Formats: sequence, structure tokens, C-alpha cells
Amino acid sequence: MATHARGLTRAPGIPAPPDASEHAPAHADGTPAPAGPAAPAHADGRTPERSAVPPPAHGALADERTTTTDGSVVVRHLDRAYGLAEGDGRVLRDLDLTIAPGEFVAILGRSGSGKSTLLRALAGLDHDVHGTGTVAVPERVSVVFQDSRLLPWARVLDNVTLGLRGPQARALGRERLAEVGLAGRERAWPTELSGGEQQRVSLARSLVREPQLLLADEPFGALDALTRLRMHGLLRDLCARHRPAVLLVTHDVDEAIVLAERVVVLDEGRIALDVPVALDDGPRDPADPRFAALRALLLGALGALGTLTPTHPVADPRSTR
Amino acid sequence: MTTLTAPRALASPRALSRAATTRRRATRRLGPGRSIPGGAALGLLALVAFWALGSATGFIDQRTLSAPWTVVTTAGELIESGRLQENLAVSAQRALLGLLLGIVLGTLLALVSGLTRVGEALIDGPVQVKRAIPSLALLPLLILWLGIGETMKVVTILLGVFVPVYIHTHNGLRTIDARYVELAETVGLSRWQFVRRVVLPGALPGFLLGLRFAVTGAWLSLVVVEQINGTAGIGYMMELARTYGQTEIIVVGLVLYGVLGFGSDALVRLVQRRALAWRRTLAD
Repeated sequence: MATHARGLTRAPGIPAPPDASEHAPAHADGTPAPAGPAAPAHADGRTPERSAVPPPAHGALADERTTTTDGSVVVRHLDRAYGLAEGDGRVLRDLDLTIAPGEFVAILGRSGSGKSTLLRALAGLDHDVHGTGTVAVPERVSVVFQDSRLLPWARVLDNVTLGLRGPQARALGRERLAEVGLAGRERAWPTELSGGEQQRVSLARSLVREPQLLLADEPFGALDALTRLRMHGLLRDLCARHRPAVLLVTHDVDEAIVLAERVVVLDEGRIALDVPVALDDGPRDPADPRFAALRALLLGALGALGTLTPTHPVADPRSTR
Repeated sequence: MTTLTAPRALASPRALSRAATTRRRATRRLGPGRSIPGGAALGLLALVAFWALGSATGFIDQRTLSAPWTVVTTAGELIESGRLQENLAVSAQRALLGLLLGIVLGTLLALVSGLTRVGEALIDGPVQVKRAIPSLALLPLLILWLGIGETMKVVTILLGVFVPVYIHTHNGLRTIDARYVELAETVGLSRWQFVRRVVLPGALPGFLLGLRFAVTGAWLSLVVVEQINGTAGIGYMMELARTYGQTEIIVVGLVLYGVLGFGSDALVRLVQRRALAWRRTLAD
């Protein structure tokens, strides 16, 4: 959220380039501009001057947003920039990503790598950012935030059915609440629930809409370790039952391996690694050597092995988190 | 209770002597403490007791301020003759009408001003200017425009009422957490659903605070308009009593104003407690 807030206050500090047009000026680095009028060129390797920032003065988002019918996600040439971010201000650089219908993808990355920005772009929540690209998402998208984000003045069931109409909405809401193990708490106020329970209500609220795409932004980040483990099991069961495509943003390598079918590592706005999780379905055992190998690979891609322990081999990679 | 006594028996004598301290810990340490039964009436009772004591001992002169029992008997006589009910009905009607119209106007203006940029640009400035002008100062103009009839009286009350409702509702609305707006967008609320499910309940604490100011404000404005030019109402009754030097009737009117104001404020506070049951605050 911090970077997002910075995006809001960007305008006064950044002098607009003299010929600030609506789209980013194409760099003369030889690469042909990708299809579409709104594709800024790369700034490969080097960090250009701040004045080369693509954003126009008024910070318009020049996305092409379309809807997919089969429940897949297709992202092409996605660029996002906050005026005050490091370097040229770009948080996502010409990012391409495809998620198949029903696929569970975890996005890993250090803070500032652009993973939350990507999620917000898919959710259509980034009005105050500069950017271009094409984004195609399914019609029904649900978001789970890091905080449960329940309306404190609405009872649990009203929170779950928020914005739904029709006679079966409340019955569906009850059903989902029972599914997350909160049957009988329909009339409770959100403040009467524990953090884990609140997050479960938030999950029920996302699933009652039968989403084709579930976007989860570090949904278990604020929970204690034990509750988090239980929530992993719950989320896995729920996803197996409802089969939405899932994009889970997390900084927890183990969480990504335990839950996802595919793990994507973001680094400085680019995809640094994109690996399938070739482990058995069902509960995955961290003691499995393939688990450990994948963890080492992901931690390596995150730069954790190199930067934190430059001379000694890592005995327990989890300690570097 | 047996579970409570067991550790105490095991505890050191020093801890035993601190039984009072342990008991106090039943409430929040930094909170205002345990709620006193009938607490709202205590201060009032003390005031009445002081009044009665002063009158009985002669500390308060009967010509300056009638004794409580004189006021009670006078009130009884006024009720018997039907004067009190008649005047009260007229006053209550004025106050309620002005209050209702003022609440509706204040809330509507706050919604339009809080939810649209154009509305804010057009509405907020004039309301802030109105806020700086006391209703009393507007009275000469209102009399010129609307005459000295009921319309002028109701409009004066309305003008006094809508400002606090507007200010507090607008503030409550504008301070709704942006995260809830984001949530409303992700679950696809329509603008009307957003207003009904997020904006109105979110602004309710502010609105109810404004309402408390508004309710007492309505009675205050009532006093002013009734004493300036009236043919009925509590203020008129008091004004008449002034010309005949009937202190006790004036005091009856004052007490009535006080009771009405206090009662309606208590009513709003009750509504507040009910409507804001979801909140966890210092007072809980």
C-alpha cells in the first residue's frame, strides 16, 4: 500500500518531460515496439534518468481491458509506474503472464518487486498509477485482501452477501460460511471474531460469488503460524471444490510451494522464474526432497541465498526469510 | 466462584490485602471505569437538590427564583387549566417540524456534497458561511421575507438544525476508510448499493453526533422565535408571565425547555447506542 500511496502524491515533485504525450515515448534501443499503441520500450540493464520516466503528467492509465470467456487470464506487455519509485519509476516492466482456467499460481517476490501491483492491475484497482498494456481477465473476479476488510457495521452474513441480489443470496452465503467452518456465526459482528475467523469470512465472501479468478494479496500475512497452516488446508480444499483460477501473492516460499501448481518469481517488475510445482496433490510434505529442492531454487531466484549469506552455505533456507 | 477462591487462598497475604485492587481490574485499566447505574440523572438530581436546599434555607430569594415546590404546583395549575398542554403542543409541533426538515436538508446536502465533486464545490462553501452566521442574526431578514407567522419560526429552527447535521454527516462520510471503497469496487457494488451499504452506515456515527447538536439546537431556536413574536407556545407563555411578573411560570417554562432538551438528547443517545452496537469504543 505504501507504494500506492506514493503514487498519489507523485505529481508535484516530478517534472513532466517537455513532450509528455499520453503514452510513453519509445526508446531507441532497437527492439520493435510490441503490438498496440501503448507499449513503452525496455530500459534493459541500465537505470535511466528520472526524466525518462514514461508517465504522462496527468497519470492516466492506458490499459486495454478485455474479458475472457473461458476463465483464463492473459496479461501482455504490462507496464506500471509510480512516479517516485526507484530508478525510472517502473514497477512492472513489459510483463507477460498467462493463467489457465482453474490454475493455482503463486507470485513470489521481494517487497517492491511489483507483485501487489500486478494483483491490483488484474483486480482493476489501480486508478492512480501510470501504465499501459493489455489485461484480459474473466468476468467474475474476487479479491481477498491481507486484512479481512469486513464492514464493521454489517453482520457476518451481510458481509458475505455484500452486493448480491436475489432470494438465494442469503442461502448461498450461509452455505459458504458453513464451508469455512463458521456456521452459526451469521449474526455476529466482525469485531467479535478472531483474526483467523475474520479472514475465513473474507474467503467466504469471495467464494460466494463463484469467482472464475480469485486474487489473494498475502491473505494469511497477518495470521499466526498455526492459524496460517489451517488456512492453507482450507484454501486448498475450497479451491479444489470451486476450481477458480487463483493468483496468490505471497512472500512466503513454503506457502507458495504448499498451495500452488505453479510458482512465478517477480524481480524488479519482470518474471525471473516460472516453475511448475511437480509435487503430489494433497498435503505436501516439506521434508520431501523435491520440496526442498524447489525451495532452494525459489530462494535462489529471490536472491535470498546470495545476498544474505554470501560466504556460508545455507543450512535452513527458512531462516533467510 | 470456587475457582476464584482457590488461587486467593494460595496467594500471599500481600495479594490478599489488595483484593480491592484486583476487583477494580474487572474494567479496562485506561477506561473511564465502571458505569454508574442511573448515571445520567445524577448531576441533574444534585442540581435540583441544591435548588431545593437553597430555597428552603432562604439562600435563594423567592422573587429571584421560585422554589421547586412552587414551580411544581404552578405547573399543576397550568395543566389543570389546559394552558400548558396547549402551549406545549404548539411548541413541540414547531420544533419537530423544523427539526425533521432540518435533518432531511442537512443529510441530503451532506450526501450530495460528500459524494460528488460538483456538489462539494457548490454546497460546502455556502454552508460554512451559514455556519458562521447565527440564526438570531438572520431573524430580521427572515421576518421581512416570511412575515411573523409559523413559516418564519419553522424556517429559523430548520436553519439552526441543518448545519450541525450537515457538518457531522459530511465529516463522517468523508472519513470512511478508503479500503472499504476499494472493497465496494471489487465486489461490484452499484452506486446506490455503495451509498446504502457503505456510505450511510459509515457516516452514521457522525450523523448521530450531528443529531444530538441538532436536537438541542432546535429547542434553542424555538425559545428565540417564540419570544420574539408569538400568540401561543411555551415562549409566549413565558413572555406573558414576564409582563405580569410571574416568576414561577417563567421557571416552569425554563424547566420544561430543559426537560425537553435533556429528554430528546437522551433519546438520541439511546438510538446511538442501539444503532452503533457494532462499535468497540472507550466507553464500552
